[in-house]
Amino acid sequence: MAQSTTASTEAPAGTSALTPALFKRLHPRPYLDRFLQEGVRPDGRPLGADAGEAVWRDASVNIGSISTAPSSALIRLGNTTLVCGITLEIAPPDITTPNQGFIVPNVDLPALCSPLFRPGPPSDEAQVLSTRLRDILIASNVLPLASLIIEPAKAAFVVYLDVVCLNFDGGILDAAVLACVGALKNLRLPKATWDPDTGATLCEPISEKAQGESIPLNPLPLSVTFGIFNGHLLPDPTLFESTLCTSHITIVVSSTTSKLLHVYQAGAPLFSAGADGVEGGGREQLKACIALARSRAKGLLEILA
Amino acid sequence: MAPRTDRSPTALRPLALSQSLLARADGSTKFSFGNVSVMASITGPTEVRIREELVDKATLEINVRPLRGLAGPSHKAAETLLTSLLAPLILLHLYPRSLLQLTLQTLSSSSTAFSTAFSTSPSSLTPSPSTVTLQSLPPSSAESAARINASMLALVDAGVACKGMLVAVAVAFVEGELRLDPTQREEEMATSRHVFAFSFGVDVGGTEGECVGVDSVGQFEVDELFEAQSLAQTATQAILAFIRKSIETRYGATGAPPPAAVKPAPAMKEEKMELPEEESEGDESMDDA
Amino acid sequence: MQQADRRRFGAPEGAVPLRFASTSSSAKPSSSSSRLDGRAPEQVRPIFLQTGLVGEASGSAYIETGRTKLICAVYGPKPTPPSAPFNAKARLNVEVKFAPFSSGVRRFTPGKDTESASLSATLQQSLLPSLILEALPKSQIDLFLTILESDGSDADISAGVTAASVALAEAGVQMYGLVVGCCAAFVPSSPLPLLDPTRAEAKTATAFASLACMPALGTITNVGVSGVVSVEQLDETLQKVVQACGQIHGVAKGALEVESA
Repeated sequence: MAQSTTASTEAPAGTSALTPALFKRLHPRPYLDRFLQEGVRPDGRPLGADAGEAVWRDASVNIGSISTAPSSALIRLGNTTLVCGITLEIAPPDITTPNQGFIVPNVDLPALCSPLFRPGPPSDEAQVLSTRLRDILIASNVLPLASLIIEPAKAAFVVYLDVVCLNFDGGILDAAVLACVGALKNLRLPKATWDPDTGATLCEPISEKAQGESIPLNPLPLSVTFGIFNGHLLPDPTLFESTLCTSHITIVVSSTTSKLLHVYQAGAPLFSAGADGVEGGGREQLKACIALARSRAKGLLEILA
Repeated sequence: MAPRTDRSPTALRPLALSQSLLARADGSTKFSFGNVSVMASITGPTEVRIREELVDKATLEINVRPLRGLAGPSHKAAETLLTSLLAPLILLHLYPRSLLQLTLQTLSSSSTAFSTAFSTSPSSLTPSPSTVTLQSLPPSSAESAARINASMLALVDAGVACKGMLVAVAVAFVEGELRLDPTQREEEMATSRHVFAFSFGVDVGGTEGECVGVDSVGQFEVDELFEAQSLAQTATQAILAFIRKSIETRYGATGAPPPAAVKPAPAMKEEKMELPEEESEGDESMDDA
Repeated sequence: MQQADRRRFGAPEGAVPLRFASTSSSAKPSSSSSRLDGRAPEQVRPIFLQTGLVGEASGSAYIETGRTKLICAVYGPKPTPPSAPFNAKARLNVEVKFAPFSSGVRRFTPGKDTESASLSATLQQSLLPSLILEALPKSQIDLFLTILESDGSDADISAGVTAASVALAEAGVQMYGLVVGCCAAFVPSSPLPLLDPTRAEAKTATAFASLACMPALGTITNVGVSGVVSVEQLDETLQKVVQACGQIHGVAKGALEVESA
């Protein structure tokens, strides 16, 4: 890459001068530590809960750019870029749930987005993201499955949410949830009628006259991830920071209610109550994360609107 | 959703634990919460492929197999959860350039879609909009907790050095009521499901336990999360006590192996040797802390 | 293939694509010389080309023309794995993928589907002559192209060639010149061939010609013709396509100059 060739030609042979880029490559942990000691992160964001909006990376949403898809959303979260495209199909509902349609989310991390991924079937990371995305979308009931019914027990819409990552720089789950929510907000289902004689469903194409129906969505899920490194809390970590963090916390909040939709943390001790139920420092830390998540969610909602 | 009849809302189902079941594995355990049972087997430390070799520590490989069918993306997520939880606890640095291979197989859970009567008539199953349940999400919290426990105990059975013990339990909120160790049906009707994992041991939680894993999904308030976590902490302490008792019974409190049964002289009648029996506990009754 | 199926959440049983009630046939152009979007027959669509979108890649390019959107990333040159046989010239591995939402009907095929495979081969053939591969023995260059929105797969590949070449240039791979692509369709409703056709226009085509060339050198790297067309007409058309490529080359050069400015 251009960057590394410049670095090696700048440092003359035989000296011990380490350029920042080399230092980052050879000693990533001390590199990150040096920044955090100064109260800053490598991309310039401030450290500390009272830094306000500046702890988050810039997010931008572009809805409806893919015209072949009924709805789509292109999300940029810092350098992370991904697209969610919706496709629709029709299927008979499951026998045990005759009043429900289907949502099928999938996350694809193609070899395009990062040197970490090889071409071929979805990697482990992509499968984990698909699972967590599905859990979040279903638990939040953002798109009520009953609203996808065309004819009870006979035909229902299948909403495929395909998320394709174009640039991988951490925060993928957050961006994927945001992309799906953005795409769902803009989705219009065509008017469909089930014909009992043929057993087939015919749809009216969407045009200026027949706009289709937009589905009323329940409170939107908004996901925020934090990384923990050496006792520091890093909101919205980049890929470089993520790989060095000992553990991560993901919190998904609801856009309108005060409820949480998903909390995930594995590996490091996070919050613990004292022996007699007295709240230890861990619970306060989790509450602080939740408060930060809520403020970020407000910002994200404004971007979506 | 009907209230529980067989146990109190804060009681565990009967726990069952048996170890060293597989002759060819270095360690194996079957752990059950009621009728949800998971077998874990571990092979290692053993030879590792050069591609996956780590110079300073063991490579931890986890495979999760479902009860039916082939493993899908959700099982990959389960593997990732287990790796995140176990890697910090196992003393991987003691086994450099080797492989610890852990395989989990769900042996039984209550049948999925057909556990209760249902009707295919569309009119009868309109979900009430006021209470949103997790019906559409396959119930797997109790199974996830059983997997974590089975994995930990398989490591103990194999004698892999760890910093402490990892114990997990599932909790669900059903119609506003907090229920410990929910059944399949309760998980389906729940408004939120939680799996908590606690570590016990010197510097990793002591005897009280330290919460090292949270996997909560649904719609819940922060206070509900903390309430569930406190209940889970007490429950995992009880599960750990059961585990300790079970292992002490097997190995003796001093840690010495049980004395071998002596075969009588051939002239006398043949007597069958008693094999170590499966240990199971009755209901663990839990009061709110 | 079973393998990839179980690594994704699959479609429910019996899922079928949407069927639309028959609509009025797509609007015909009012006069024989004007097209649906009002272009002249020799006019190509405006191109938006931007480099550097994929940070970790050696080079990347995103191209948008009309409704075609695709992104290309280049990783390398990097050493071939030691297990591979010795190669005196660098290996160019090209993979073209369609996003599932790119064509209206959901595309999902586990592994490579045949359309992607043939497009990958065409793309590789178009690019190989332009690269100085002898300068990089024992190396490989990976090129990944994802089509986000497709407006006819033949036109996609022409845009893809341009994007791929720009991405390779940004990656610093030595080359004789930039390769750009363009295509033309022969439709019964127009005496003149239509350059840079959309899918709607190509639907009624009797013949199709696509071309990849290096305008800086004045050489052609790849020509593909399908359908029934006379030799004179084909010759004329290819001249026009080469001219159009010259314009596209200007845009591609501009995108690289902006990046290095």
